[in-house]
Amino acid sequence: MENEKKMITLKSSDDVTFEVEEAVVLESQFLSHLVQDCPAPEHKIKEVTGKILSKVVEYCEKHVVVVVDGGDSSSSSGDDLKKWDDKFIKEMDLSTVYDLIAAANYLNIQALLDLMCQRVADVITACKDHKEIRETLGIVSDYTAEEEAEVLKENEWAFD
Amino acid sequence: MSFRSIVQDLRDGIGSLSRRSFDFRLHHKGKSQGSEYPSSRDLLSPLIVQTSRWANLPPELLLDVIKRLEESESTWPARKHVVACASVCRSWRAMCQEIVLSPEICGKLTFPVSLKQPGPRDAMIQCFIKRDKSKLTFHLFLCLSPALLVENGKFLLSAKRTRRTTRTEYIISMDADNISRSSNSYLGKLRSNFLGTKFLVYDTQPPQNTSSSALITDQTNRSRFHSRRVSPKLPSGSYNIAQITYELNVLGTRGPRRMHCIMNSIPTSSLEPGGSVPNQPEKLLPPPPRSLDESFRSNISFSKSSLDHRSLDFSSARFSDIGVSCEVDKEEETSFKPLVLKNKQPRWHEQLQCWCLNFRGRVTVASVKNFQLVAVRQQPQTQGTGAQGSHAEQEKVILQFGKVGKDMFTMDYRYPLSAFQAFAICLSSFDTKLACE
Repeated sequence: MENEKKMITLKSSDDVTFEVEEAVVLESQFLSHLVQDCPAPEHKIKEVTGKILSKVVEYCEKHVVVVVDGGDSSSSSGDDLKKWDDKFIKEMDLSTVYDLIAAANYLNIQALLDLMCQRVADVITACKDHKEIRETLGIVSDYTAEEEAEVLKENEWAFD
Repeated sequence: MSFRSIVQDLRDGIGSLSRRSFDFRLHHKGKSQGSEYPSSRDLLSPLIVQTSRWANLPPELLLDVIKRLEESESTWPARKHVVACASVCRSWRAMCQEIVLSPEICGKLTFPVSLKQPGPRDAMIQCFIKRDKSKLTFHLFLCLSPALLVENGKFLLSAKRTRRTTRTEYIISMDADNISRSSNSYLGKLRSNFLGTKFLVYDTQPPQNTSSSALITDQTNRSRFHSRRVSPKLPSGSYNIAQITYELNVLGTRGPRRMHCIMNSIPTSSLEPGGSVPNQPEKLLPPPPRSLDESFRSNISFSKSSLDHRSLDFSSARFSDIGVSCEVDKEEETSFKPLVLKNKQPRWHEQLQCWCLNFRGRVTVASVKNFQLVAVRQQPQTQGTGAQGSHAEQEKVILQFGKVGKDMFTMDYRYPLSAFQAFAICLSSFDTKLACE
């Protein structure tokens, strides 16, 4: 296994390259199909920027390593991994969270997608009301005055 | 849309735009300062682009996020986050309404509209009513723990009693403090006759059987946004949805009283296998009164804006349910039979020397007000069709109400009654009935 570690180069939309082990690439369903179907040394991912791809690679590398290492002490490494995940998402601003969700969705990395979606759900829960959610995520109300009044009424009741 | 509301919209839009960019910066600063890698580049990225991105999150991803939220916040008060989430913008609202199931299916109350939708089929929703004798008010709360005498609960509905010369009226509201007919929180009322032996429950929304077949057809063919506009809009709608009568029993003024509830908006077929309650409301409050011209214009604006939401609205499980029940309804339209409920007659307990009913621990204080309601079994000889209602189903207690302390009462209800209907029936039991006691 050790001697035949295959390296694959990923290139982002803004031409940042990442050289990663094949095992890392296999974390992504999309990339593993891509690698299988066209055995080129370099793969350009037009939909993902270098900044986001670096995050994706960071996440996948960590998870591959832990899964490989965690053969005998899986529970402690599982906890470590969770801690690492928590730190990984806490350091991220919401704009990166959005890009990473889009990238995880596109590259089909379910574990990363789960992590990021949970992060957004937590951000929403941390908001005290719908106005704070709007402000936090930069969403503008697109309701008519009548619908907005209905929404307010609903919230008054829910928060009573 | 009136000119004023356009201005209001614009102003709100501008207000939140500028506020948003400011808060967004602040928020990010606060978050990134504490972290190890402050990504200052993100702070400078165009904010308008970010703005629309979260609102236009691909549906499958928004679904994932909101599903997580809905599942984790399953009990009150945390469930308010689901309501807040549904208030953010149209696309989020449509998604939340699709994910959150009606109380009939999921057993949970979420949006205020669930107060007028039937309770769960397989369990009872446990509530309590707090009475304030000095203010003549009644507040209905959802129980958040199995304890009988608790102070905390999720507020559901309120009522205020007003005595007129010839009758007593209870105004029912979704506002805990401002309980009045003129308020936009007004949901309906309960009105008694002079003796307090007969009560009528009025809803601000029309019940199923008064609607014409044209209205039903419209509901199946049109989008949700339209269907709301189709129903006749009176300045303050008042539709009789139930009638409650109290009778003297054979023992005269002594002993338990007899209750009889005719639910005009619920067909008796709802308790048959596969039966359902048709025409459940999509929203709790009827739209505010307005001129014909205004409503016409608003219709146009709605039809335009609802186009892109149509697919979401249509795929909702509840909508398809309504579609199905409407078809059933058409067949039976000519012979709509309202559901009739009666109180379970208590047994005379020789040792305790009192009338007893098994409330399964939910009622602790003996009172003439306590009751359990079950469906009146249909008489096969007078009934041509639909008499095969399952007996087990009809033996089930649909609503029970009883005293647990001074000014504290429990109210447990289930399908096919809604919280609003159950509350109104319980309120009637509060009224002093000289002829019955």
